[in-house]
Amino acid sequence: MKIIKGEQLTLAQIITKGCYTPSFEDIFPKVKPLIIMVNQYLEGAIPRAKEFFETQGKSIDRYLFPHLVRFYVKIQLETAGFSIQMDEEEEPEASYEFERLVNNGLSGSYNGFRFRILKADKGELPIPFSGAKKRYYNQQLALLLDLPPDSELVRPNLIILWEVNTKYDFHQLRLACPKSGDKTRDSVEAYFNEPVPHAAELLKAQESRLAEEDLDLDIKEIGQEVENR
Amino acid sequence: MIFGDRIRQAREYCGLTQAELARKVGVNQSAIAHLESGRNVPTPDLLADIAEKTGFLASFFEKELTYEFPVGTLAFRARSSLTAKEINQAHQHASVLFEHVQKMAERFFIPDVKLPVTNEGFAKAAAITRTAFGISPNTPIGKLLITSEKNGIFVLALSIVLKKIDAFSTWAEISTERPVIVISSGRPSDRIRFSVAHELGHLVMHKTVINRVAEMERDADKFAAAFLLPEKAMRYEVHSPVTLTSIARLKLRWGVSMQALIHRAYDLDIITNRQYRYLFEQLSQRGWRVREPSNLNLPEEKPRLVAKMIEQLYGNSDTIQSLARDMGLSSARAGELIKEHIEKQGIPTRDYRVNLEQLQTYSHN
Repeated sequence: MKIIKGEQLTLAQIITKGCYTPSFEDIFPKVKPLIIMVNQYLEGAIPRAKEFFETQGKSIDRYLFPHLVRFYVKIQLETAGFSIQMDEEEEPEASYEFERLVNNGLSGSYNGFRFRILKADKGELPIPFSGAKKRYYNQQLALLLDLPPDSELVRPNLIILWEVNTKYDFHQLRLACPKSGDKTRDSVEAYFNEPVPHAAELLKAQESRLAEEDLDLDIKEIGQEVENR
Repeated sequence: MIFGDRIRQAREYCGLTQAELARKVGVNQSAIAHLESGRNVPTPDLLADIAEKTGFLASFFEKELTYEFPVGTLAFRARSSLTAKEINQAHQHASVLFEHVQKMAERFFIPDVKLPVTNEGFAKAAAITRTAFGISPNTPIGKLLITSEKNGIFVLALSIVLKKIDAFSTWAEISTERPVIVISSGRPSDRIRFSVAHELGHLVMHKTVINRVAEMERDADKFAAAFLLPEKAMRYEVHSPVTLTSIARLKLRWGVSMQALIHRAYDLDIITNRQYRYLFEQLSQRGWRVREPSNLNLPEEKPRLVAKMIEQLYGNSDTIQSLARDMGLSSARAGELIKEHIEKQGIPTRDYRVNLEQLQTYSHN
């Protein structure tokens, strides 16, 4: 039985519908403006973090690098009006583990979606280990709902992953929806984890600027014309 | 009487050597050379054959070539890697079109030439040109081709794709001396806009002052950047951090390529050499130095002056055949020559419309 958009359902009715699976195609358009913004800020933050090491005359520290990126992005997101948290502020008990710091990120909300910005672990979601991040990963959507793909009722937790290339230059963003995760790589699952186009490819050309202009040209009266045909 | 210059013109228009044309019409190369020099006169059969193979009417060869369209800045490319054949072909396409445009223009009130000529440097020359065109000093320029035409410049759009040349320009006689810009087919709008601005730079700065070619080309590029992307506006709009995304937004607003914007920001010291290199590396990694993202394509710009003249003189009561006859060309050849000027649906004629698909498949035999 399909649920019609706008139909009022009780929780029990929703539960009986079976499984709901978040899809990239459904969710990406709803967060596109956020993606464009995060993309732009990462593009600015990554070379800035890289420059930090260059001006020190040091090679890039792969642990410190993502922290600097995160810091620069945070400043810009806050300037743009987002309420942003650094992950270790949210779960200080987790930040003592050095290895975990690499993939700590930022968290916030947009259009009803909670999102985190994390550095990708070779294109994959980083391992959450424990605490708030683990709870963030383990969404029980599958047990609850079977809604149309364009449902407005569900706002699953999202993760925006950023990747750099071997030269520590910005490579791309991925949009992921975590399903589960614990302390091992095998425990991490996602509803989807898809690369997104660069923000420059998501902008819309505005045609109105050049649209309506035309040239006026008056023909000479018969008496004025010169025979040429 | 048959004029040898016209045979040469038709041959060069088709991009043929004397030997290639000779093979097509079954004579030897020296026979063609003699026809072109006026030493020999073709037989009616040979003339008909040349006409057929080149797509020109026999009457074309009977018209004396009284005015040679100046080569203009096309001459600058002679030292580049273009062959003489390619330069001649580009020149003859412009010449044949110009000859008829020159005649049609006598029937119209053409806008006065407001293009200044100055010895000033590129920055001041660009500002003077904006003022002369009535464009405010720090705003994006809308349709550059039509803006140019409104200010008395003729813009001829060729139907062929010129290799390594986006445009060239010259001052030529159309009742009075007028600036003419010739643009290649098959280029994206942002590139055409920059190339037209580059040619405006040559017309404004290099009519009287001739420097070394490389220097003039560099000055014309800088003129184009200053004309399309005024310094004050760039300093106001190009914020740190400068990213591909922010540059992409500026591209849509200012109608120039991302690469031109990055160059301009660097020339104005808005970005450092490090940022400049980083941005270009990012463009390269994504393949955007060759082709910028298609969602950022600017609306197509076409010149309107020639199209308007054709519409008014031929559009309502006549046919493409009349235009072709007046030009001394076959209908297919005439349609091909003006196709970049007309709208996609063709000339709004009563009984015949130029079929673009037919024209595109037209073969030179």
